[in-house]
Amino acid sequence: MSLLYKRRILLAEDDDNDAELTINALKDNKLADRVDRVEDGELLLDYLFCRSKYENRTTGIPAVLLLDLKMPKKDGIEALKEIRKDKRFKLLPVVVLTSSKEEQDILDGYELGINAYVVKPVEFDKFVEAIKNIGCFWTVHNQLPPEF
Amino acid sequence: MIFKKIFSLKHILFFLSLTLITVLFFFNIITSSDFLLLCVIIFLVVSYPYLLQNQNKLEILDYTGYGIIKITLKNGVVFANKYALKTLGYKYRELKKSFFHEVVEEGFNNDFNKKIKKIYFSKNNDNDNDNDIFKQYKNNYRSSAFIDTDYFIRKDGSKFSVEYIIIPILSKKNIVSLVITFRDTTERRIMQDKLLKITEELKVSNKELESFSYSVSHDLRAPLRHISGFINLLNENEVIKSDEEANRYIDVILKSSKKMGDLIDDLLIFSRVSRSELQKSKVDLNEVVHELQNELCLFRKDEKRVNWIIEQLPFVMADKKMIRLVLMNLMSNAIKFTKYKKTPKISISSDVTEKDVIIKITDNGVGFEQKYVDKMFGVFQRLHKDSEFEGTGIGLANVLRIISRHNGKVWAIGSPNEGASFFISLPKKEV
Repeated sequence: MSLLYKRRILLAEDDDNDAELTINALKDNKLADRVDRVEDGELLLDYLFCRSKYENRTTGIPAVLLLDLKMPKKDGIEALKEIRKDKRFKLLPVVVLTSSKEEQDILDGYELGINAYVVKPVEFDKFVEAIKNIGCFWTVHNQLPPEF
Repeated sequence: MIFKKIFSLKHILFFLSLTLITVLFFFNIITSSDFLLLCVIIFLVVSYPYLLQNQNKLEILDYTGYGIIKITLKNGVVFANKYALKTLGYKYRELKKSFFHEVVEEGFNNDFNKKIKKIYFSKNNDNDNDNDIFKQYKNNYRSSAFIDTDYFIRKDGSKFSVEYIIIPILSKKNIVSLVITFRDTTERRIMQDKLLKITEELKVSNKELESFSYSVSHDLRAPLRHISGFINLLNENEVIKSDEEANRYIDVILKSSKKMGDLIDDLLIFSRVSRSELQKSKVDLNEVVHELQNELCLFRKDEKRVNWIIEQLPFVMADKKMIRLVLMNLMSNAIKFTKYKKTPKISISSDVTEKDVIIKITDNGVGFEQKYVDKMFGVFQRLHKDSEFEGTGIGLANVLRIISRHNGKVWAIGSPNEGASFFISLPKKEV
């Protein structure tokens, strides 16, 4: 449990405001300090594969990846494709967190093995609640695959 | 039926008259020379309608809108109607006894060729069970396998598209000859190509619409969420640690509502450039560029630092408002993306080639990674974070839209931190 507790949440979100709101919402579960944020698909891959900027990262595999789909450079789906190609991240829990309700996006996501698809609510209360639930569920209640 | 056919009135009359003059000749009422003469006359009178009828049939073959060729497997071409000769540009004596499929098709890999060759081949391999084409012929000559389209070669070497039908004539279960009917389908093909092009365009515009509605739903929601989100944060006292923090939140709210307004404005422009009719006139690009330079100068303080290098530019035939929008987008982008440079440099030049007029706008700004070049021109697609460089992500989509509507092209070359070059080409014939 203690080991699991140290796991971090990785937030891939290009929008500063959305990122701030998300991190703020996680504070109620005292998870706000354990969020790492990357700003686009390229940086997300750099983070996971410990490349360039994240070469010396020691925080291990995150407990969950909160993935925005629409990001500059590589978008969420493109990044996810590359993440799933790597053996280490085949089972990484991924929760898509996006404003898109497009069926195609939902389908593409599930085909790439996402674990949940959440449309960001516009109303603040609902947004906070959704983020709280996701953070709590994936970092506290969820059992990760054994090899993690 | 057969009885009726043989003993028609004409035949009865023919035999009766022959019998009559034979009897007359027999009883020496007429001389032998008279007899011969009468025989010839009767024969001519009776056979004339037949000759005429055949003549009519041949005429019909000549004046049909299809090329008709008959080839025997032994002797090659034995008949070609006028349409066929005219369409192919051959005289009959040139085609006579030739192997038609080799004449009208240059290669030996063509479909038509293969089919005919297979038929030739099948004659010698009567027991070849694998020879589907032969079996099909034997069983049902109307089989659709022998109606097809291909290209034929004229005598002068030019190519034209045809639809052809091959029908075999059998004798003792063997194919002895073939009748090939074909029709020049060039016009139809042109129409088909046009239709294909239109369908393709429709697909592209559908895709655009799809990504557009997707992006609208995505990007218009975000500022709303930020506004309501940060107002809520302002309400929760525990979050706010200082006035500074509160002011920042208010700033975010203001910026978000401005962003929303910008998005709506840009979307309206986008829908306008996509739909409104082009009003082409002769546009002096020098004038447009200088106007824009002054305008951008007024709105942006730091523009004055920019070192502009503007060459003499050509006139183009275009919708002035739209071409202005294109240049405004590209010029304000150049200013935007050089804002962190000590000495921003923007140059505008042109190049006139054989077919196109090319306008080039180069800056020494942040540039971009070439692999993302296609994304740049998509609606709401951005390569930079809003906090680095503001923008709605519609500008370059508008540029692409407008230039494509002018039948031109847009492309860009760049590398990170080494600046970017944007190119527009407009076809000269419209210039």
